[in-house]
Amino acid sequence: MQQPTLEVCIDFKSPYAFVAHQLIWRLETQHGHRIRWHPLTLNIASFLGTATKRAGGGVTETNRSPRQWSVVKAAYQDARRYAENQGLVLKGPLKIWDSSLAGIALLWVQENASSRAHLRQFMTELFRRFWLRDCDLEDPAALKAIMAFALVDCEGFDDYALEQGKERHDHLQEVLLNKGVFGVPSFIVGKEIFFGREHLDTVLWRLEGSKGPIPSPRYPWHTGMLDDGDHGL
Amino acid sequence: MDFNHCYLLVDLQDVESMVALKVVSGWAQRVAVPVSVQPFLKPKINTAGDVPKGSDAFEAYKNKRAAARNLVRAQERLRDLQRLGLTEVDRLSPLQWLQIHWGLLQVAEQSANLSMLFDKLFAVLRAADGRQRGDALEILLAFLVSDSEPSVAFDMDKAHRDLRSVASAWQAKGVLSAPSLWLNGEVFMGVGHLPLITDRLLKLGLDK
Repeated sequence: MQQPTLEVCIDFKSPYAFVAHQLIWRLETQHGHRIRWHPLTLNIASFLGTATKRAGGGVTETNRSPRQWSVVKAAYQDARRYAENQGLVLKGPLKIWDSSLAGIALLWVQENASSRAHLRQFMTELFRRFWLRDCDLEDPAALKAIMAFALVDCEGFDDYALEQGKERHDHLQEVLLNKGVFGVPSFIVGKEIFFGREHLDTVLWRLEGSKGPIPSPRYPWHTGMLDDGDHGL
Repeated sequence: MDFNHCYLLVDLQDVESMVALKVVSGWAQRVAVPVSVQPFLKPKINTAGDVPKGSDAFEAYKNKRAAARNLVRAQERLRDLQRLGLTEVDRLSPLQWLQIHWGLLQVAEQSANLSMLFDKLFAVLRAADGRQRGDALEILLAFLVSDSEPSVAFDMDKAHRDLRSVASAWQAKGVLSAPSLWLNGEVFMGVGHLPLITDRLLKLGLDK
């Protein structure tokens, strides 16, 4: 029987995608399920309002309600716990970034990287630098520097970003939203959508034929958790 | 609130909270930490509702995103039903749900036997008809209030007030939604955080 394909939607500006990224790769490297990555550029203003901060921490401009601030603060507090556990540094962004160019870069690298390891290295480095506040996601030169770091050819990227890549990216946003993808990370297996890394066990269970009881949601804490076969039920 | 006492906040009308109760009841048997279940009845947070109105395109996007979110929620609900071994949850009346959540308040500060609680609640949900459901509910409520001192009687208005007051107290501690877990001043949204919480407890030397 043919294995179902796995599509994963991410956005580099999402703290949840950041802490999920290496775990998601395990589905491919440890379990052999090749991932098709899709950029989903979140329109954060549409569900969490907007805010701009100074480097020191003060908010300079915002239209957020107290409820939206509580959700944002809880989300960062939560993601930071897991980032620290993975040895990652997660510094809150000072503004809401337009990550569409980074999404286009992901499409480019997925097509042009000479190996999956190079693709992974590009994604890892982009995430790492962005969350260190050391990468301008809206600057093509910054993105090309990371491609060069990951040994991915970037010649032609500028034109791709303005034309074919932009068209593909914008079209994907429509397609994904129409399918039901509204946040990241999301996993598409057949017609099913799983939102959030707490469903990684269930995604794997589905990919491997839905044998045995359906796993419960859990956020992987130890890196080996996806491989331990204990689904917590 | 006791140190090293874990609280599970639930809204049992939501299948996700039922799954949380099932998972935590299994977990509590493996980890030597007292767990209390408390009701947290607040509408699901919809932060998009607070966003000021924008252009037509912006509003269209918000609507599409809301539809996508509902679709995924419906899929997740089906998976949660599967986790419980159910195809659908029999609908209880608002009064019956109120009684169940009020009953939880009566054991709130004690460590309820979670697996017994889950089994009795599950019997209510699986009851074949209204009469069986009524019987199962009576058994559940008797279980919940059996240890309360002094013995209490259900009063609808007071139950509403008490539930609102408990939810507000948890909100003040940072709880945003059910199911959530609370341990030593930290809030964990969703039952998926049990591996992290277990790790916290192991570091405190509370494992068996």
